[in-house]
Amino acid sequence: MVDLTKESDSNSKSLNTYITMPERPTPYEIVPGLYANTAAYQLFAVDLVDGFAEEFPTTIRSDNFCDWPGVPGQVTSLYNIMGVGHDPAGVPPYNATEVKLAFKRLKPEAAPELDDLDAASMVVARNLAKVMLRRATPGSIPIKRQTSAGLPALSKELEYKYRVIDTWHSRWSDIIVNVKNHNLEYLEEEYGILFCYFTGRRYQPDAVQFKDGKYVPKVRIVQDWTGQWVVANRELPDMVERSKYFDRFTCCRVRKINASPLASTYLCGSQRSLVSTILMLHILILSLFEGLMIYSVGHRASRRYRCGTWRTMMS
Amino acid sequence: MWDVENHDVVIPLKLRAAFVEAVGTEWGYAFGLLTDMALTMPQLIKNDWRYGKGVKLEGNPLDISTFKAAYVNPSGVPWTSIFAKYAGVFYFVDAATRLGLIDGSEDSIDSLLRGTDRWSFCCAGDNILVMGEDGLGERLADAMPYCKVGGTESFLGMVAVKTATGTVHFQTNPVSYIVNFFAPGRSITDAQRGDWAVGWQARQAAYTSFPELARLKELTNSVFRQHFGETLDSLSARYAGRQDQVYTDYIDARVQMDPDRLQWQYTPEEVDPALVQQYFLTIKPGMYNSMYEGLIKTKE
Repeated sequence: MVDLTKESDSNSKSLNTYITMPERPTPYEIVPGLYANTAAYQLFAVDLVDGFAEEFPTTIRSDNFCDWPGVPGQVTSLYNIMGVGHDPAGVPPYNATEVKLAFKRLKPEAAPELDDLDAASMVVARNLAKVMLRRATPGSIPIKRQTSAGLPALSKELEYKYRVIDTWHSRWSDIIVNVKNHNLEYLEEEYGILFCYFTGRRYQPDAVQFKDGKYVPKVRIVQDWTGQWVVANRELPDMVERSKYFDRFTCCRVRKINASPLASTYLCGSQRSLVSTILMLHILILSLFEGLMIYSVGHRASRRYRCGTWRTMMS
Repeated sequence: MWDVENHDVVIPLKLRAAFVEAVGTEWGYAFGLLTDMALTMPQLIKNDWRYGKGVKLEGNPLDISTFKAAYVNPSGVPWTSIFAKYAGVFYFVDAATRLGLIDGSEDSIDSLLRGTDRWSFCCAGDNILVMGEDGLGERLADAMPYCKVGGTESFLGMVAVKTATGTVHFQTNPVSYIVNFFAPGRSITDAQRGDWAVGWQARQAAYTSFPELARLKELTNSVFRQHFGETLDSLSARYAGRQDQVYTDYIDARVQMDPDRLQWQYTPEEVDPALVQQYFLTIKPGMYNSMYEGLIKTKE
């Protein structure tokens, strides 16, 4: 076993905390001392939205251009209480086919006409991929100094990240050969590498619409913990203080993400030059392993928890 | 300007298959294998119910036969943004083929992506800008059976405005000035959030293309003072004074407000090196050439 870290104590604590931590809305601080779930924020947000709407009225034209100076009408996003997600937050789409079925049932207007490619489109898809890949150029990798918050066993130390990269660099050939041969048990035993994502989350405000005399949020379809696809409940829970404007506020949208901690940031090319999109496959390699580093470091540091955590879940 | 609805979850599975296949043939079998693994890996999912707890595992990290997730475009790997762009481009290239604007061959696609003299488009994943004759965007949108697209007034946060003379200008969105500060994805205490006070000051440089910026800033300060007794300018000055330098260059300021822009909008070469180093460490391609070569050797 390659010892990449001496952070085992803190890692063990993190993993244990993760497994048992109760789910609750995150205290969301806007500026020091001002929290999103307070009545003070709601009163402020209403005045700001009203003032904005009066000073900068929306001027969207039918052709999607604005009149000069032009303001789109999405400022009601401030009516989302950030940090308080809808319920349930919804798991990411492990199976996209299920998502499409859910859309057809619960929100048919959002469902595409066809689920998958026909033969002619498949030819176009293949040709497009080849054209893009042939124009790819490797680039440098900006790696975040700060890793994702809320995940277990992650080091935020820059030196630690360098150490991980250097260590894997020297053992790369052995690792990649065994990946190719699907020797996943060997990789786990020898290097503590497991291929698995962790889910994280981020919050995203939606514009709120005024309909039939009241403010209504967008409909969001999510999968609950039991696997059922449902329309998310966006009513505010008790922890949000009530103000005289309470009824126009809503829960913000929760976006689930898969976290890859070591290089969760990477360079993906410039949108200004689509066809020169940089495909840095070598970064994929790093990311693949580091994505598992989340799990492997935590796992390595906490072998004593093995029976109680993921091995139990898999059995 | 067009926006693909629910982009990441409606991408057709066969589109992913076509992409992975091309990676394998163009870059080598091992690359294709790794790409496929990255897009189908098992997932440890946290409970979603309020006040609940627990996790569940979808798939088995030790059994390759369970690597069958159909996310379709998971976050967390470098492919995420690239694959999203590939899908967005595909919708338009496929629509152009259906309309007979191109024949769908490699040459015609390559030529289209370089821009024709009659029309062109830019794609940033679910956000697409079509430039051409009136009604072209609508015709293309109507020829897309694999997604739903809707018209939108902004592209990558820039709003298109039309003057009385018919000229189109792009300007920074004043709504983003407000919403991205008071309702961004992360609390000011989040490790991934840049310094809020520096961010407030930097946005004065980042939104200069909005012609009424001074009036917008005055409105925000005024309402804030009315509720909390001082302006955001003075509050941020007290905090930013102890923090980092405030960048005034347009691109630097936008990266300082949101360092993640290095992920999808700018390259490190466009940003002040000190600012890049503040948030990122950089690995040059040469640092892991031997890894790259090792992967190539596994082709056989």
